[in-house]
Amino acid sequence: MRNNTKLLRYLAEQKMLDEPTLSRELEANVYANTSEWRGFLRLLLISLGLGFLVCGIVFFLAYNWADMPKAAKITLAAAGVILPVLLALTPWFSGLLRNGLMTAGAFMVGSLFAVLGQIYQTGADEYDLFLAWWVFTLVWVIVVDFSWLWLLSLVLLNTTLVLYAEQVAFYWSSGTVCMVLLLVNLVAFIGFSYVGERYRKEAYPRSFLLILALATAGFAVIGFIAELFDPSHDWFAETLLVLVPILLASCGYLAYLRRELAYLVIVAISSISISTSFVISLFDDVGAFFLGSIWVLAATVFCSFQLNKIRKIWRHDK
Amino acid sequence: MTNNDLQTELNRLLPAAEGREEILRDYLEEQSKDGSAAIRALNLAGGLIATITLIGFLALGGLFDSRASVLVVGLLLSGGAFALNRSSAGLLAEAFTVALSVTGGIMLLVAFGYDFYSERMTCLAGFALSVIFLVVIDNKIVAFLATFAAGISLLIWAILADWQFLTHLFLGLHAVMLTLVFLGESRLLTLTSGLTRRYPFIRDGLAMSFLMAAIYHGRQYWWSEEVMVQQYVASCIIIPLVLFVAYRQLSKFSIGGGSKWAYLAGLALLLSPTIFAPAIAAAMLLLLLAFSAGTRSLTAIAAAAMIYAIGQYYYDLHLTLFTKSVVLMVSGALLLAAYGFLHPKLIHHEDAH
Repeated sequence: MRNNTKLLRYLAEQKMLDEPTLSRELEANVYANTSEWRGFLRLLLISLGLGFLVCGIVFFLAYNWADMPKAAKITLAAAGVILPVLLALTPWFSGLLRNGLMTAGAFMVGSLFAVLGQIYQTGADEYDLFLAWWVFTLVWVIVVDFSWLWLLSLVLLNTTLVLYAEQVAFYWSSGTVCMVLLLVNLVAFIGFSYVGERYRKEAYPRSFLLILALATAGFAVIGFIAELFDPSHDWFAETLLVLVPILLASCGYLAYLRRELAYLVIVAISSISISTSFVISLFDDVGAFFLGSIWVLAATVFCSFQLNKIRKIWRHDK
Repeated sequence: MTNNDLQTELNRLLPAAEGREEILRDYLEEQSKDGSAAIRALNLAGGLIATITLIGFLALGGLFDSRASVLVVGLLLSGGAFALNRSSAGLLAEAFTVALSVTGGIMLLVAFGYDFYSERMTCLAGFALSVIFLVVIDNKIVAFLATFAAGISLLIWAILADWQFLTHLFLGLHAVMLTLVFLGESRLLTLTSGLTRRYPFIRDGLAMSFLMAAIYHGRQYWWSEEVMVQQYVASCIIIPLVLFVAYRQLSKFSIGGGSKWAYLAGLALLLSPTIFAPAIAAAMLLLLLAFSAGTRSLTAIAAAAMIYAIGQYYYDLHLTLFTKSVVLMVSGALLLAAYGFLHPKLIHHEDAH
């Protein structure tokens, strides 16, 4: 039986196992065995080998780039998109590898646009490139419906919005940018949680949803703090000061109802952050920091005790 | 593992012991005290924010103007960490032990280096303080941070000496120590119970400070702009260590005479061009040790570090892009050939068992 490291360490700590037994147990049950080594070496050699080969080809192309005719450049960039997609459509690979190939193809769409932009000097802003990248990959993101491809698509959308705020809508305050990003990621999080549960054979992976939840909470906290200390006098951004606490309260309630400890912790950390910044904003200099540290201590103690209690009750009920 | 699995496992491990139910109950009790990863993250985040605001308060209050006040606060915070560590407040004590230890340790170091000690003396003081915290405070995260800080203090001490030989020697000796800690796990775990509790965290801290030292040496190639003299010293220790670890693994899986030496010769050949770039062999050493010990996160970190070190190596090469691309394509093809060559052999050995 593998993965009993904790038990072995506990028994060693209690002096119930002697050194030879422990050594034998570690070798037999914890340390990598032949088949694990085999898998590891296969993965290491094939990923390094393919990585080196692809990097070598890319360097080779970069070296000859200036002398290459336009048609060759575009063909190469298009091949970078088409080849992984065609490979993904063949029946030779496992589901995960095919999804990985599709994701690689979506990545390469960006380089295709970059090449087109470079050759024809379209004069487009960076945000145009990312917007085009996002729009033109969206269809196959929806068709493939692979969570990590969705994540790439969301990263593209967030980047497009940030670049748009920097290059076009430069009058947007940081609060406004955070509000927009918060809304986009919140909608994505709710959408994926809902669609995953209702309309899919299996829900989206938990790690994917947690990343979305963390991104949403991050934009909420940063936006709230930005608006608190540097008010933009713009009603859209100012809504953050009301929206974020309401949002945290409702998410906390939902997470409690659904017995989701990880989301409850995200809500707790976000709440501690925004309440601390609120306390600090109320007072000047020294007093603010003193009260702030006391407040964080108290809030952390309170949340930790409550969550631990809840965790024990939930575990008991299982 | 379910409780039934644990009971079966206990029966197998301790066939003669009495009161196995009690042992299992104590073990489960200990595990439930450990709390979940999410709550630990909350406590650490809370501890961190509290520490930052506390330092802000102390700085604005003019504390950093006098050495004595920094020293007193440092002692108070460290004492607080020690007291909290001895208390039985559970999960929460853990978070604040970490926050207080970090601030207390930094304050004490600031007090030490206040005016009249040299930077290198402060590094040594940092090392001594880290060791004291490691011994005195029985906490997982403090054990990790203290080990890491001790390694980094010594690394900076060696760098400030402006003598390349010393940093290389440090990296080499660090590699020896890391290998001993990994390979001697069962011995170290049965020495004292304090060490058993801290072992994984000391090991991870050592691994991280070793990687930092390796990455520092990643840029010191003879063909890069900074010309150094003793760049091969660390490699002379690390490459034999990699071969030794590989030899042990091959012997463990009873891979016989001829092919064992062929594998080792192949590995030595692969590592020989990195003699002036010790970061690659260092990352590979950690990769082998971490994978064989079954620690996934360290394996992933070591793999990422190795890819970074290889990238840095190619970036620093004083060759044209064309030559680099040919070298990369050839090495890629060779690695794929090695994959094809090793693949049937590995299956063959598996079947032989």
